[in-house]
Amino acid sequence: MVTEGMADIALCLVITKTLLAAWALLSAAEWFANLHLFRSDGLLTWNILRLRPHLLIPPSVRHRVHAESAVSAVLVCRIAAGLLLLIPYPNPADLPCSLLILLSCFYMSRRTWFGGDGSDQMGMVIAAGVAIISAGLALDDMNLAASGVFAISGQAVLAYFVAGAAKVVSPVWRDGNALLGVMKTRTYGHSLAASFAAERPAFCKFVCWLTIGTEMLFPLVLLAPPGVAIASLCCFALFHFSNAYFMGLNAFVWPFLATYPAVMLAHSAVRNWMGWV
Amino acid sequence: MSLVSILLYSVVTLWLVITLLAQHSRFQSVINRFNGLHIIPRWTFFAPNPGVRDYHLVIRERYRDGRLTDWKSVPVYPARPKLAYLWNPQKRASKILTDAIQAIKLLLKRDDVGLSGLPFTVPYLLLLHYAAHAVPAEPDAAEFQIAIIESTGHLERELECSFLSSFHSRW
Repeated sequence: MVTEGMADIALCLVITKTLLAAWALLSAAEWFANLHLFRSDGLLTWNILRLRPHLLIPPSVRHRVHAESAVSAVLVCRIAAGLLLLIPYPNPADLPCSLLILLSCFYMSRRTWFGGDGSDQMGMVIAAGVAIISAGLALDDMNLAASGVFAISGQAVLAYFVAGAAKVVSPVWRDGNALLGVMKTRTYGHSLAASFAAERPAFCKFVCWLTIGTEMLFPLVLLAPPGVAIASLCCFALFHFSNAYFMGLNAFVWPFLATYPAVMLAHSAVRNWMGWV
Repeated sequence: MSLVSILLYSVVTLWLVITLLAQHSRFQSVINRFNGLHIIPRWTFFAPNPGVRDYHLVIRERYRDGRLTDWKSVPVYPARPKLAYLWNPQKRASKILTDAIQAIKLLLKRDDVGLSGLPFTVPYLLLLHYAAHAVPAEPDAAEFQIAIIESTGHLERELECSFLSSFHSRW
């Protein structure tokens, strides 16, 4: 039984770390394309950002640690870690590589201050979870590995539920205007979707409530029959692909899909605990 | 169950509970104080108030004799690429601009900052510094001023100036 459980967690690790690697490579490559932002005349120049309070690095090395070359070095480390994570399981590099990606997440969030998004947050969650699961499998400690699964699935359930709850208290989401408003922007919108939505307020309201409802009901995936749970996760994956297409949120796809193997393991554990299997 | 497992389960449970609390504005100021590494995520995507405006930065200069130049657009990020669903690095610069402008709006509402304290804040200085370097100075220009323009729409654009800075020395 324990061996079977470990095999399930190992399969979860293989899928999760592959998607983590995809996100790490994509996010690092996109930051590389933005290295000019870190120069002295860039939007993230250290000449200005060093003025903010609560800096953690000692003043004597602060400038070097936050220089453009240091950012490049951190991104190279993230790329190397992402590539090494693609080595098939069992891979002794999984633990150090996921920890390296986690540290790079901490560094980039401190260094950039502005410009981070939900994909960075979920990438950090996945890196932490993969590190714990890898440690559990390396030490042959199933409970340790399961705590990593708990971390990822717990944050995934919270992420979807909170996203829905924050929308349901918002009048612009409830009346459907949020969809048209966002689609009308060039930053996150889509011209065809905006012109389609502009003439169909009922459709906008339906899409907004569909988003609110499905996000808030995400925790029920843990209780649903296996077929329904898998079908639901496929629908959520489609939701992320459509967000990538219409809103340009390409980096959200990989870390959010990376939570699904852990969610399915949590689903099995919950149904076992309820005596439904 | 090993001691390490019990410890990790406790830490993960605490992490999830704090994450849940952090989504409510009542607890955010307290949690943010200990969230220097951003280990507590915020999951309120595009809610409660979704971004329904594009932000633009513009700059103009004042010559020594008092004449003003036309407003010029400060290039922050190019248009979204057609394959943005695969590759979209431009989103970082647009998100930085959005975050900085949102921070400026919040600082303007604070009693201890307001309009008089704003020029001494990091988001303001960041945009001012960037605009001053992104657009070359006109010969004989002595001072410059930036403005934040908000827009909506794809073909027919509605524009609104939401913030106008004071004049600052060019040199």
